[in-house]
Amino acid sequence: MNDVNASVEPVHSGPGKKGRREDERLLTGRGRYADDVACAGALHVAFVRSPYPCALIRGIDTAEAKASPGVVAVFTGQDLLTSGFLDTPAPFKLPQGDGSFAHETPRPHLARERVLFVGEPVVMVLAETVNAALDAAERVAVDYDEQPAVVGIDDALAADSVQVWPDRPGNVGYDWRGGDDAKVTTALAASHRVVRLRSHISRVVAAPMEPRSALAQIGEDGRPVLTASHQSPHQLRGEIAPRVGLKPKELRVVAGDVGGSFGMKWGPLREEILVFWAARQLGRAVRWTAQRSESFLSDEHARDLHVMTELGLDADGRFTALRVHYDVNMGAYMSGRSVPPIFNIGGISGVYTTPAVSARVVGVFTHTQTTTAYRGAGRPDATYAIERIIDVAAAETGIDAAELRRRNLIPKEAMPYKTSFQFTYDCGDFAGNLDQALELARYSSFEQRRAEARQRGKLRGIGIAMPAEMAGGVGADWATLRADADGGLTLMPGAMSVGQGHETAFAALVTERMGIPADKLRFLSGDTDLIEAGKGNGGSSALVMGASAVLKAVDDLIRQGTEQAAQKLEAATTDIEFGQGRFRIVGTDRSVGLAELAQAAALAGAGEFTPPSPTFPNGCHICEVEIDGETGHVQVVGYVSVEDVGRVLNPVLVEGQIHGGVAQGLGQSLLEEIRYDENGQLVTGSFTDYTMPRAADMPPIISANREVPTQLNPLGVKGVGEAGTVGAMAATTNAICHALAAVGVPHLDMPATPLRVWQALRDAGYAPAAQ
Amino acid sequence: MPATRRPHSELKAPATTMKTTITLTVNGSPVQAQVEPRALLSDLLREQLRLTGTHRGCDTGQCGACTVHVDGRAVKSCTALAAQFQGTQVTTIEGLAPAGTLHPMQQAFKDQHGLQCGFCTPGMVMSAVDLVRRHPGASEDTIRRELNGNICRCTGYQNIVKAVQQGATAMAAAAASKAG
Repeated sequence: MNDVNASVEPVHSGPGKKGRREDERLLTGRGRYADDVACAGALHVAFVRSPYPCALIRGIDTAEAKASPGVVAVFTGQDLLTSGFLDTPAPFKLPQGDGSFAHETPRPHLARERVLFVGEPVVMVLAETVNAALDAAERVAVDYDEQPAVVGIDDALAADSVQVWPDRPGNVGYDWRGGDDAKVTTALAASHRVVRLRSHISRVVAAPMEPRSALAQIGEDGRPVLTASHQSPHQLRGEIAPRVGLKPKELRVVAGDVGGSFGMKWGPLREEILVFWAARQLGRAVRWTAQRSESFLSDEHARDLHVMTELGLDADGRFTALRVHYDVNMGAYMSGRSVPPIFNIGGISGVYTTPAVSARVVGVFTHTQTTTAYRGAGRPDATYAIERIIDVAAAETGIDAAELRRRNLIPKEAMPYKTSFQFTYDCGDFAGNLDQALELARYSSFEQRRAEARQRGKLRGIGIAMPAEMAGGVGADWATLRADADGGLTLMPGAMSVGQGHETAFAALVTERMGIPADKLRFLSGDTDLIEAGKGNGGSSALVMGASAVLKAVDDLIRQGTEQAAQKLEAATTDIEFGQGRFRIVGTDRSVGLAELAQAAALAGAGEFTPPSPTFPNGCHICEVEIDGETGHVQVVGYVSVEDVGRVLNPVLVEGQIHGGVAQGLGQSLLEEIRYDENGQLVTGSFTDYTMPRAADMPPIISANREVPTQLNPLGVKGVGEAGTVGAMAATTNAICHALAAVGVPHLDMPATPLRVWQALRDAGYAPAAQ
Repeated sequence: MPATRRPHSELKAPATTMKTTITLTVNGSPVQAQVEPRALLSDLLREQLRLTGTHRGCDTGQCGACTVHVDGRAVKSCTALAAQFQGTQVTTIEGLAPAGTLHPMQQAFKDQHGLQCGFCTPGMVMSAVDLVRRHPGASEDTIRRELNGNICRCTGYQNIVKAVQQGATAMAAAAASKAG
């Protein structure tokens, strides 16, 4: 049982004008990303990847590649098996609607008998230089027997479809159900009105600016070390160890600075594991850094699902029932990484009192890259499902979109509130979020701005989304705080930063409580040798779990220090008080410092925190757009985010997370899309084809915090890492569709690229008025 | 229908690759280096000179993480051959300000929380300094448009724009005090 103490005072500290602890290093080129680590003599890897979405491998001829200058080794999938490196599946067991269980598919580290998507690794070439490896990879001859492939969800579900896996009939990997669907059926039948929408959430890719990279070498103590751009070193170590017949402690995994990850740099990633294996096999250091075009092929993608929603309303516009059905394009392989749409589907009940909610999620195999978690990991999808259908209902009923939401909000007086689906909210002020966002967005004067835009030949739209998501609820996190003999402290949290600034945020928690100056605190993270256990990064959990564990480590250090001080000062522990780095006998001048204690005996505090239940960040986003009817170009002209992420410890870092999160949701709605052609070839394989949001695409964002602290952890925080994206995808799409609905386009799927918008307008017979 | 992917026989490389010698100035110090004809400027900086602050994020000149200054102008070092830079003055993020100090633009990024993961940051800062040189007193619109060649995945650009504005003001003030 956690002793939860919500009476801790808020700590508003960290960067303001001073910046983060991390910044100076990163701004002067002294960051240490995986590819920056020097390693003389390391071999370089090039992968031969499948050019076909589906083919049988009839043979592989590596002779010419092996004879190529500088080549040291060439490995095929068969070579791995022969040398005892077995396929180790990522175990996965998911209960399905019919009571049976869905299981993972096999997945070899290098494809052997067949390839199942363009880019699947087939052969690994190791050479003395990058160029020698790339040259030799061109000399590998793979005899492929191309087979018919299936790319899209609808084609894969068609009765006569090609089957990706013979033992998964109909290309269905799982068929999951949740909620009381019979109740929903009854409620929908009795509803005054039922609105329906079938839409699609596009396939995107995380595209962190630092590509994946791994370096395996033998450490000074003779143990193998993997340095990787990964968001959870302990988790990666746990994946690698059994595959290569080691105990976790027999290897070390280090993540230095990580240049963004967003959920993608997690799990048993094939190339990283192969790099580690090859280094041990050859007894040499081995490194691989993806080129960006290789990243588009080899990084797991995300989202890509059909969303079918039915929302019932009574005559007063109150929601009676909601049914959501997803068909999710999982790509070619299924594992525990395939199910973010299910894990975070709780968000579909939203911030509303809808009495009956049910869902069905079908995982569909296709000959494409696997899809997995990406910022929000199913949360933006769930929020999109409910928030988009509310806007469709508003349009059909003629009730204003804000008013329709207001009629259905869970009142704060009803907290804690158990929804009719999965979530039980501990706290929140949803009406307050809505009111504040409407005011900041000047919602009441929108029609004037729309009329003014019309004068200029522009179509203006406004869209609302009220996200509610689950954060920080899975497992535990840990932290250690050690007193050093020089009077400093060393903090070793299990949570690690992949850009957010935890070094700053966590350090502030410690220095304020311990009463030591910032430069006396050392910070170590992302290293399995230095840190006993850690979650790494994911699920908006770093503050909720990681920082709570840090607080517990602080408490533990003070408790142990008090005991040691009592002994040294020959006093009762109850007479010892701690402050400014010293333990004192109350009311006397007799004291002992942390340094003196640390010199005498080891002194370290350990913290572990498991939240009793998840937290629920929530908010209201309002996006305003202007569409050029001549060109189809969408300009986002206003963006407001009101977020309740619980207690805000560091407003600057929180705002940074919201800005970046909004950019990723907005980028998906407007610009980004991973696209395969009908033959299964990836056609968005570089930043030339895959449109990342640039500075000019982004509006100035007005962000406000509406703090309703949770009692579920000692800091009162709810998590902020994903909130921006969760709200932005729905709000932006709603705004675009609102603008288009006025001229007869009821819905347009993302991304709202100029061509797609222009085409939709022309299809609807829209002709811009002559200027 | 069977389809076989054959090796590209025309790609046979010579057993030894001819290297050329170039001399240039990097961060104020003279450098003489042997480079393969196909070596990129970013290869020279990162691999040979170990100036790893210059990052490679896309290999196609889109993301700008590799931006350095050549004779005072911003250049994307991942899409330029090292051999082209004979006799030039190259400045990387490591050489933008004297050791232990920050250039006004670096200070501005720190003050405004204009970076998160930091991977795009060196290129972003180098581009921003060149942007201010070309457009002193640039408007927000100009700054956003001129940053088109630098992609950031973390910040949503809002604080980067604020940082460039602060950096521009500070650079102008520094120039004025030098002139005065």
